[in-house]
Amino acid sequence: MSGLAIETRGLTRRHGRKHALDNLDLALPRGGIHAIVGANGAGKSTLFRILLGFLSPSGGEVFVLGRPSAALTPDDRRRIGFVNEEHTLPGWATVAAVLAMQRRLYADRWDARAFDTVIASFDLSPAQRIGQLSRGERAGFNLALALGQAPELLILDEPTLGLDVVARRRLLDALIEGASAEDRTVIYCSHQIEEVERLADTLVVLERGSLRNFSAPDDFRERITQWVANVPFKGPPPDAMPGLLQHRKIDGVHHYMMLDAEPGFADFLRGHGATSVQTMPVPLDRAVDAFLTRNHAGPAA
Amino acid sequence: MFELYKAECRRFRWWALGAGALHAGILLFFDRMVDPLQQPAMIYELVAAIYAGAGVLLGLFQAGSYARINQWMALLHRPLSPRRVLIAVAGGSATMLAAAVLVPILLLLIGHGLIGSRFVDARHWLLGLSGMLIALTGLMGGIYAALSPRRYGWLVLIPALLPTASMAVGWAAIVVQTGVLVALALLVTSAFKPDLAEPPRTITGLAGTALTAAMGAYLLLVVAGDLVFQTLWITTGTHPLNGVPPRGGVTEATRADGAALIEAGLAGRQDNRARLWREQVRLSEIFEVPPTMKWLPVRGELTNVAPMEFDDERRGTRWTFSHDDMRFHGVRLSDGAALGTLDVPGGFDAPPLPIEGGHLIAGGSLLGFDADDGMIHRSIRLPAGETIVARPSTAGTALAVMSDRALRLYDVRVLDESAGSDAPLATVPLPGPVGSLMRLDLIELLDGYLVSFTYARDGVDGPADAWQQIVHVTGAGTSRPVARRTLTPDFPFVTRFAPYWISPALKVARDLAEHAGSGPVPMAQRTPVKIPLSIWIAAGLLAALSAAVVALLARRWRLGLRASAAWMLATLALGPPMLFAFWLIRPNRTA
Repeated sequence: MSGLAIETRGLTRRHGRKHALDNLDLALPRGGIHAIVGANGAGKSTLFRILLGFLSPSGGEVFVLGRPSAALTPDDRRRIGFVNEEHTLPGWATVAAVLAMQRRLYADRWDARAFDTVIASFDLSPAQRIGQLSRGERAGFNLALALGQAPELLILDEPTLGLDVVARRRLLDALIEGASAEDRTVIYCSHQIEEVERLADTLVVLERGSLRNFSAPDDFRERITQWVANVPFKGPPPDAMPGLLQHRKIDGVHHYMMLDAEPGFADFLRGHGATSVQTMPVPLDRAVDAFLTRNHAGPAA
Repeated sequence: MFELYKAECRRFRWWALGAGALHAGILLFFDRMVDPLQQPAMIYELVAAIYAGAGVLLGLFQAGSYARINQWMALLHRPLSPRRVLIAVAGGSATMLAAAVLVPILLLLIGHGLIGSRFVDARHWLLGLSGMLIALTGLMGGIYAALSPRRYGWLVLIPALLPTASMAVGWAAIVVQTGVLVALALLVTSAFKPDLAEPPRTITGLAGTALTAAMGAYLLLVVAGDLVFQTLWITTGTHPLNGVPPRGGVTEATRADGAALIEAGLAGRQDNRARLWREQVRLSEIFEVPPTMKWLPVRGELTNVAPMEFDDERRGTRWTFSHDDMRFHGVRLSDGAALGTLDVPGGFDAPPLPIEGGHLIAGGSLLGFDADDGMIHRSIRLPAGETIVARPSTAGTALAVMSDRALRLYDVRVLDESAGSDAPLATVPLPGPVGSLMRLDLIELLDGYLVSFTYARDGVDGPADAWQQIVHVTGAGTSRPVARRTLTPDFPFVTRFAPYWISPALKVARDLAEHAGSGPVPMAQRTPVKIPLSIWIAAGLLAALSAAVVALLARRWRLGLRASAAWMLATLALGPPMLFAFWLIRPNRTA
């Protein structure tokens, strides 16, 4: 059995002339929670569709639980849970009917406790139609179903949109418990960085279909530092600052967000006229934000 | 899987109940107004189109609700094979649709059977089954249209229209309809896979899709191509059907009045006898025998060429023919009470077709209902194996009766003298197959008849040879051909033979499919088409050229060697339509 839950080699997917995924090499080990973040259009949803065999790659290879994604069998799918951001469920069916179907499909591995833990946050009636549920209720029900099937690999695409604080907390608890106690692999895609920070063992950053980071969230955060410099004049030009992610000038003070800043960066700033230089760590959400928006940095001061 | 099936049944149960109630209400309404079992074929075709349309709408709605990527992933990403998911999902909608179509029909038939006011044949039960099959075919078509790639999905659906062109009768029609339904279900199965944008993954699925798409492309090229060509021709104002047709052509012959046509037929003869005939043609009345009927009743057919019933108004009885026992069954119009059966001595050769004047055509017999004694009498019986193929008509003092082998002229009093002789005054063997005969004109001479046979069916814009033959019938009843001329085709050689040079193999396949199970149809007898050598050469060159293009595309798309060879061989066999299918399907390397 492969030690990897997900493996892609040179994965490429083109939509016309645009590359949704561009020569992506990714290897996610079994177990743990792997967060995938990226701006809109980074290729996250395309990646999930290819992983589950619903989209064919233009090039490269993809393996899920050791099997080529285009050849997943019903038994493979039994071991893989997937929740999309729309929480797609049949709107005409009742809660009871959907639950009965799910329990029957996954009878050999149904985890009633995991289902009950998440569903406890919602006051659902078995006779209610799915179409009558609010977005949050539908999300909660869908997530409870996914956890109830006790998958080896659980792929969650923006799962917590629409959930209230209590439901979100219970879901995250259930995910952490499942990942640790059942050796489950969770692929978690979210724009909620505080969730990523709490959950993730690995932070994968995608940008324009390419892999930009693969590390623990703390390691990623440590790569990004904020520098505050009082430069009376214009300051160094941006193209002279490799690793510059963001630059803002607030009240005459320059704020630089740097990726992998050189040890002598403070001297560099002083060399360009800075009268004072301070450095400080940044929280993960700001680090991710700066990383993903580096191509949209403000004009040089 | 069963849970999924039940869920889909529940999803559509109220729709099915509503549609079934509406269907039953409409049937009941028409049942009060007319006899739904004795309508002409056109009515059944209209009803079948409604069933098919309902199926298509349901299929489009159901599959369309799953076709968006997230819905599709939610449906298929489960521990069931796509095939089992399809069976559950389509099985649910098919069950509801079949119930909405079949149950009201069965209730109607059972009601008639119990009450006895209207006669129910075994074939009528098949008619209900046929309605269900057509509705389910529509459902599969709708599902396929929603799920298949738009590049070629529409093309694959064209051959599914086969039941509208099929000549199959009775059980054979059920077999054809079932075959189309099964084929469409298999195509849906091949399209029902996680990646909807890709062609079928299995070799059998891909081959079935490619062959069906090629046939769709062929039909499109032949039918739509001809339509576009003729429309453009009409806009230039030189189309032979526009204004004055070309001299000596088929169109002129089909439009000419009888005298001009016979004169034109005699134009090649300058002898005195012909001159005398021409003078008589100008002075005499021309009789045009009604055209041959395309369809005649066949025992066990699902629909009716025309209503198979007539009323005896004097006795207040409606007689309805039963295919089961080949007798008429009487019902009193006032209260619906059964009044026994009506037969003819010797029995009916074939299901009778009521025509004008209280007469019936049944195989080789012309029969008449006598209102005085309430019996059916046989007026004419042709030799065994012959079938009357046109409505008898009077030509002066004669009655012209045309069979699939000969034109016979009788003393018109044969219709009145039921006990008298039915020996013909003259028998004129047909100079060609009856199915190719387009018109028949005759004049009464002082010493017999002059008959003009115009063979031009499929010869106007089709490939058949067209000609006219004049036959002289003497007063003693003997006949001999006296003139013959070839009618020149009005359409270009290239368009007349388009179905052949585009793809001879698909032309043969189309003809076989349309004629399968057709039963004894006299009008199917046609003059064999002579295909010129140049057409064969053109077809071969086009197929070779198409295969070369396939080879180039396969190389560009980096198709495997075996797959490339298979596509090239298929294109060599089927010609440009297969190239078209290949280009639209764009098989990938794994297929």
